[in-house]
Amino acid sequence: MDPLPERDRGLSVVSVSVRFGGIAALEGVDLVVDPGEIVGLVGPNGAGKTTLINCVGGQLVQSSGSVWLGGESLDGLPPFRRARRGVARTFQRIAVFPELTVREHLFIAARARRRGGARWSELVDRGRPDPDESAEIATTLELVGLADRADAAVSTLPLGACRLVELGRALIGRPTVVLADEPSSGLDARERATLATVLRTLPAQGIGVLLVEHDLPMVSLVCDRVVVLHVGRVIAQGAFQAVMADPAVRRAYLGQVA
Amino acid sequence: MNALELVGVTAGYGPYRALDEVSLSVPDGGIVALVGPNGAGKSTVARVCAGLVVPTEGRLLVGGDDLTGAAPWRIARAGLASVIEGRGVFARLSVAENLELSFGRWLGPSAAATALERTFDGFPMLAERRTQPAGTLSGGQQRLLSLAKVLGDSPRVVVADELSLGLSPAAVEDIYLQLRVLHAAGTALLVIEQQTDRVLGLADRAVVLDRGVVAFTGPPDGASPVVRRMLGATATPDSLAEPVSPA
Amino acid sequence: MSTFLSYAVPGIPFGCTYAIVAMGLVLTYRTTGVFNFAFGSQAFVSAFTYTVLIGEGIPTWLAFVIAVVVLAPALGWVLDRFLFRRIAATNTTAKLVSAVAVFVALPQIVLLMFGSATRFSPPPLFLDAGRVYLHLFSTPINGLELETVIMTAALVLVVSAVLGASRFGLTVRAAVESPRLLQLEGVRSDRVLSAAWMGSSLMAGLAGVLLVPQYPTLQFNNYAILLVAALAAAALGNLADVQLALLGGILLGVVEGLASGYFSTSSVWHTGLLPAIPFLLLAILLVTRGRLRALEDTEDPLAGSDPPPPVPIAVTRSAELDRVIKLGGRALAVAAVVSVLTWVPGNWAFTLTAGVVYSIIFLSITLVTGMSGQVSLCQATFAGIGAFVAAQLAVHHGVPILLGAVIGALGAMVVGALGALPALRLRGLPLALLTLALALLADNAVFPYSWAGGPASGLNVPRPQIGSINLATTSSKGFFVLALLVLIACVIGVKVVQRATVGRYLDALRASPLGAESVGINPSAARVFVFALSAGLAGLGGALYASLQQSINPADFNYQFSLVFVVVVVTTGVRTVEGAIQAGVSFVVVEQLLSYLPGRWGSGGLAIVLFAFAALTYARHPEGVVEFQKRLWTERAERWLGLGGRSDRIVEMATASTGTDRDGPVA
Repeated sequence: MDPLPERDRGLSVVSVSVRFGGIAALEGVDLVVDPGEIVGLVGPNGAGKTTLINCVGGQLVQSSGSVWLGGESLDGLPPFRRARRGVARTFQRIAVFPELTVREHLFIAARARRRGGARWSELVDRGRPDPDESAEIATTLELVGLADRADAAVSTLPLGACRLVELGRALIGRPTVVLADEPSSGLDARERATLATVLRTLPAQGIGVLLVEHDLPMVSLVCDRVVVLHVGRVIAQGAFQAVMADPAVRRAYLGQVA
Repeated sequence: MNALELVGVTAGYGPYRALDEVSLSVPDGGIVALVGPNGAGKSTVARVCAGLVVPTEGRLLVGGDDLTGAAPWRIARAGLASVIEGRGVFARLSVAENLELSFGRWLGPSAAATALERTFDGFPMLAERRTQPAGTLSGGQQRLLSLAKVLGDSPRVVVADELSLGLSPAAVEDIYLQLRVLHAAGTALLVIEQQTDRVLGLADRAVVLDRGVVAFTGPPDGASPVVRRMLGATATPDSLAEPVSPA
Repeated sequence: MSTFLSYAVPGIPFGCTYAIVAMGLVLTYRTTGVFNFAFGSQAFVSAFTYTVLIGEGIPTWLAFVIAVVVLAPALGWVLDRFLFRRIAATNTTAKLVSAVAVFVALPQIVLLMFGSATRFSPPPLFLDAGRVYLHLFSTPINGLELETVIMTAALVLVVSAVLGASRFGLTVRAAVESPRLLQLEGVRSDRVLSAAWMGSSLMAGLAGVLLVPQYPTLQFNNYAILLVAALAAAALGNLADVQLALLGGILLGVVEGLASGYFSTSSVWHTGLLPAIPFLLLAILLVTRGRLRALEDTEDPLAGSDPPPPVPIAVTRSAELDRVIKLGGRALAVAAVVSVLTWVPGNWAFTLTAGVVYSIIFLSITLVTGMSGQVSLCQATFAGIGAFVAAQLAVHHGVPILLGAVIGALGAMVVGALGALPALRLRGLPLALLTLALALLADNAVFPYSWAGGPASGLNVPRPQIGSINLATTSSKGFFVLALLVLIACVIGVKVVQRATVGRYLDALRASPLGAESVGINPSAARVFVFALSAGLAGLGGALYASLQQSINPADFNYQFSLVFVVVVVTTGVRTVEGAIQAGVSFVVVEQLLSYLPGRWGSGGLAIVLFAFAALTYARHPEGVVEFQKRLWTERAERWLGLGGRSDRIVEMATASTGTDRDGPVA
């Protein structure tokens, strides 16, 4: 009866519903992302994909249901506390800090996401990473392929690189789960390839990924499992091929009648 | 007669140049695809056409009239409808109001009402949300709405930037269908796309842009290899975006 | 019950005056997208013109036509054409500061032109003020009251009709959200907004003239108070609903009527609470109403077409020039200090000392507005807290003034932190309004008491005594050195915070609150910290100001100073510490220079007008006038000297947080 997830699991969304006024945006959505698993979240426009991600990230409070991470409830926590507990995310409409460099993005994220929160010394320190943080920043820069532009202000980078900055900012500090909201949107073929490469390195580090995407080749390439959302409900889930062969999915999402 | 023509357009933002002597034309009733890697200047072409970015050199012609430096409203009245990338809707107006605003400009009240109903027939998803503020729609739905705004009346030429960005496969299917209908009614199209295969299938001409210059103009079949070569040529995924000093 | 009614009914006509202004505010906000503080000043300009014309013997109807039908829309047209049109639809800070600038400058312009002699108000438009026309629940209603109610009703009809007109209303609402996007529909949005401004200005003029007979003499202050009180009424309607704003206005009048009836005139409630009711109500509404909190500007979908925002030139100029400028700047500063200590005459030394003290207060604005991106309209109040605490301790408890200044600064800090708590969920316009409400609460309910702001005749504040040196008797130059040392310490403090991790967090929060929170930055902690620190700085500056002036009274730190401070600092350059110092020094130097002018021109109003005119350039260059000039000259110098500035690395941007992408650069 009790849907309490096991302690060592990653992310669990348990019968989450969201209503805006009278309209139901999500209805009883259940979803699990295990550590080291990449789950694709697909569905027609307006199915509630971003709404679900916002519920997990804390940008939105669900009307009912609950969200768990590693066996602990995230309900009622503001976004910054969830971030410190291991929820990281990227945004459909990028939310970077234009005047700061790539390195500063990663530094801020590495320090702010640290458990335990702020310290008084942060008022008077020199705003520089300590050796541990420096190493972590270097690794992350390498991972997302921005090492050669680490000291460029993000305002000088094109959209594709900005999406990678967001991804790097999300990955630093080893989150338990990364919520990626249409990360390939607006990227060209080559940038997509980089993105896919980065995403596929994550399971080995034990990081779970919830990936919202319309780029089906990308989904089939990187995802272990696919969940299809339609009008706020999960209508299918499982392996990519099987799900895409489902007549209901074909009707709702692919626009073809099986 | 060309519905839209850019002649030797150079343009940019502040001190930074994004286009370098770009020329392209869209004949009346034609469909031209504009493709190329990110950072090539595709969106700047769309903004120049809309009048949002004024070229520092070169000319913009709509239906043969020189509208270089003209205000966006003048260009719109000359028959050019723009679908800018990203959110092109008034977030605080309802879905229906967004559409009424577009249709009411050009059509009489009864024709506008007909166009509205036709649009809702074509996009049932929008019909369900007609009284909702457009800002509460999802990213993809806002995209559909901004497309629906130009599809309802029949402009002389439509410039659509990042047409299928953020749309589900079914929605992309729908949009392409609607574009064909629009084209059949005589509207010329300049379609800017990231997903090259699809748009090259629709177009009767293709222009490939690379780092602000036209790298290829010709039949769509010829464009694919050019784009593939461009994206494959440089090994590092992001060398394209290398910051470069302004010219 | 009859007592209740006899208190409540007279409140209705007065509530109508709130309602008139509140509806005007709502109408302006809805049709222009600007929360128009200037509304009160626009109303005053028409009222003033009307009164002057009647004084000249011109018939009432003609005076009305000239003041309301001709002058008011013309003023609206000018404001749109030369100021508000140039501000990006999404730049909340710029819109707010520009409106505040007009609010403080317009009355000064009028007074400079016509002089500030007392002008008695003409009678109501068409009814006899003294005659009782009817009784409502046995309360007599005189002509003035009746006319106000009738006019309010007429205005409601007009405003509802304008906003209800479907096609025009739709176009206006679209134009407010994004004039450029509307242009893509083939609409001349500039004309739409111009018409909206003329309409709203007409409304302001009408309100101004209608309100003239309410007061025996014509004073700007009445209009200013009316404006801020009307804010509460407008807030009740979420700044969007005209009917609710009307209701709010009348309700406010009735509540005030009841309060003044039930509280005996001698009670604390009567003197303390009554004048504060509107501001208390405004503060409560802002904190508790979700829809007001959500009152933020939507993003401009076309932001991607704009050039990237300028980075402070100090960051991008070439290394060589950077060295030269820094060296030159220091040399200039040292020369100025040496000059003050040697040959500068006493009155100028005093002026420059005041400049140093103002710089300390202005640094507090650099923190709040420059670093955390919020507009605070109560910095003078924090300065006042510091000043009054230090002064009261010195006068009544014999605490040395410097120790008192530190205690005062800490006190302001505590108040700042407490004040930030209810403001945690607010940003942009609602936050600015809340700080204004707090400033007015202090002005009306705290500072007037002699235990707080001292007697109206003023508190005599001592100069500090350091060892055997009494800074009052030696000369004011000793005080100059002291103030300078404090300023240097504050500058170092602010720079340390700017460079520290917290400074980076603030950069992140200013650029994208959404992104910053998603990586674990606690926005509330950062907000409380900034407000507390900034209040402390202002308090310290205020205490020094009190000691410098040697006498202060309750009105020395009223909300109008907060408004002027923000305008001065933001138009000079709010992003850098240097900007605050340049603002502080130029503020007093301009005032001192202008004081040599004859008559009313030298009275200080002109300085405010000049700084407000700087707001015209500010609309185009949101980084500040001085910052803009610095960039211009730096770039020129780099060209002449052939130095490769670092600015060429700043290429365009994928416009963060709006998600629209801009194409990359061309080789």
